[in-house]
Amino acid sequence: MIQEKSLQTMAIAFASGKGGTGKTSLSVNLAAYLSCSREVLLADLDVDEPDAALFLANAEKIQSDPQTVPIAQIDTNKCTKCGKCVSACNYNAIAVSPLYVKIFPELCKSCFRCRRHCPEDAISFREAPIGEISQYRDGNLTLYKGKLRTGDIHTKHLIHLVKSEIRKSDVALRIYDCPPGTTCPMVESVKGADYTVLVTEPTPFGLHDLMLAVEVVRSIDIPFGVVINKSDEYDGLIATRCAAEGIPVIARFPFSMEVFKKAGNGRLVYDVSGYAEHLDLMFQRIQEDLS
Amino acid sequence: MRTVAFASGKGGAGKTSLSLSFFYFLREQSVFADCDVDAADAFLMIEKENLTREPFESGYKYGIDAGRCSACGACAPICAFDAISVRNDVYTIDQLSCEGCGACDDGCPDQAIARWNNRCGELMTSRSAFDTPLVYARLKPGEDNSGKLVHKVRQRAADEAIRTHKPLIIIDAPPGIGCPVIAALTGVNLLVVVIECTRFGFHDAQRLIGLAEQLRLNHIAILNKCGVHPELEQTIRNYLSEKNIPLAGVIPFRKAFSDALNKMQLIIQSEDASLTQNLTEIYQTIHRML
Repeated sequence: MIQEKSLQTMAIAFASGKGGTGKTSLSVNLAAYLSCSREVLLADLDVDEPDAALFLANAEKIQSDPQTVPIAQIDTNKCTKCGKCVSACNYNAIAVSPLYVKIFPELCKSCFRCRRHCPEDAISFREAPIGEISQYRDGNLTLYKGKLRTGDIHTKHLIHLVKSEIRKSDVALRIYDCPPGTTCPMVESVKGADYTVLVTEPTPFGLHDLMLAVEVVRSIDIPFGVVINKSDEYDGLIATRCAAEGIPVIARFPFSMEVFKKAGNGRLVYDVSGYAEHLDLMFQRIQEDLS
Repeated sequence: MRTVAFASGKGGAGKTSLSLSFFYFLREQSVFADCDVDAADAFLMIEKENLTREPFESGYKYGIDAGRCSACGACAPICAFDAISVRNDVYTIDQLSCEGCGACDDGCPDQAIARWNNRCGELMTSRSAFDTPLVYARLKPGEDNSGKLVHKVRQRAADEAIRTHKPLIIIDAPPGIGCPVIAALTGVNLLVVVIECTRFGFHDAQRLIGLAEQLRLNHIAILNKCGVHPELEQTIRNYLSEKNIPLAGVIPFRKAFSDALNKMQLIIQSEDASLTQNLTEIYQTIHRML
């Protein structure tokens, strides 16, 4: 039997229901901070709006590859317009009439079912561009960044491709910066992670979207903990609800104008007084929860 | 009927706060459509009474009938989404990975593949605190097809606007620039780009503006959380004037923003009089553009 290479990896995903709670700030700062003493891999999976690289001023781009998905196309010379592909396609991506046949590429999900159903062998697949994956290096930190083409809808595919790319790496500690929300792109990002950090902020919106995100990570059975970012006098809102529902709050990062200023300018903030201690505590807690 | 959408690319830039206050500003004449079907939360602030909840179905899901399955394994390699796995000779389809294409059914010699309609979300129609309609939706965790559900929200908002004789639909768009955002913005009369005055806010807004250009949308900008990075603010202003994008106004970074939220107030109802004055002027400008 062939053995998978026995690399003991730990993948920590930073997610949140609500956008703008600080997923990118926290994940990049944790990755950069930990990379002072070890190799760290950071994956920017928010392919709609990949921002992690903006924090890493000294990062050097070492590779960038265009990414594609296979999209069905029909050879009109071979096609007899029998319509078997139309009934096979559950996404309504193909239309046929006695006069013409048309594929709507934005609806094609690359399942290849139409090709199997075509009796004329008239369907093939072309590689359509959806974006790119770039690799950056900054000291001990390797960043993988997926970037979706503007106007493209293959968010999930590109996230999947970034994750396949990461699998080739031999860096043990992996940190994922995930897209906001609770649906397909978020689930695709956190799936397979060993631990998910749900980042929230003390507002009614932060709480509401946190509870949605908790439901997701519970349903896919990933250990998780909540971080209250921009923590202030309204923390009780989140803390009370979490306590009532048995949800662990693993760290709080107090609101600080200094952090807001520096981070907003695209600078790392782990050297701001107190910040690194919070990162240490959070990372320790994650390791404890996992052991 | 006119439609105005608030979007930002980046999450947390202030879309919901600013669109809700705009709704309050024009409450006599508008319908509110929360198109962030991943995490709709505008209703927390303005829902008075929910009128209907309807299931949203889109596409199919597939499963394996263990009673019929002979564990031949023909289905697994056909699945393009790696959704089929086997454990102790029992094949199962992971519902989160299944994209509902039905390819597995083609390969199964035992007719063991079951198909059902995918009930993947809910569409809600409500009465807002201002007695005008509020439409929002919720997609189930892990579901795809957010674009279709966004489309449903917009359709229902249009029906409600006709029913209640409102001339304006206000859309709160999801973050990002992908499928649900495209569905939320296509064909709107005006897009209000909420730019958070940080490097990230600016970066993401530029991606959004690229999309707005592709979709040929009229757009206008609001600069939010200003006063912290004056140089960056100037860069953004220069960018906007080069692009000929009008600036509706500038909102300084204030704690009053999140304080109002925590008091369950709209920011336009904040006790900070200069903030409400500032917002009123911005909304007048946007209203004129419409």
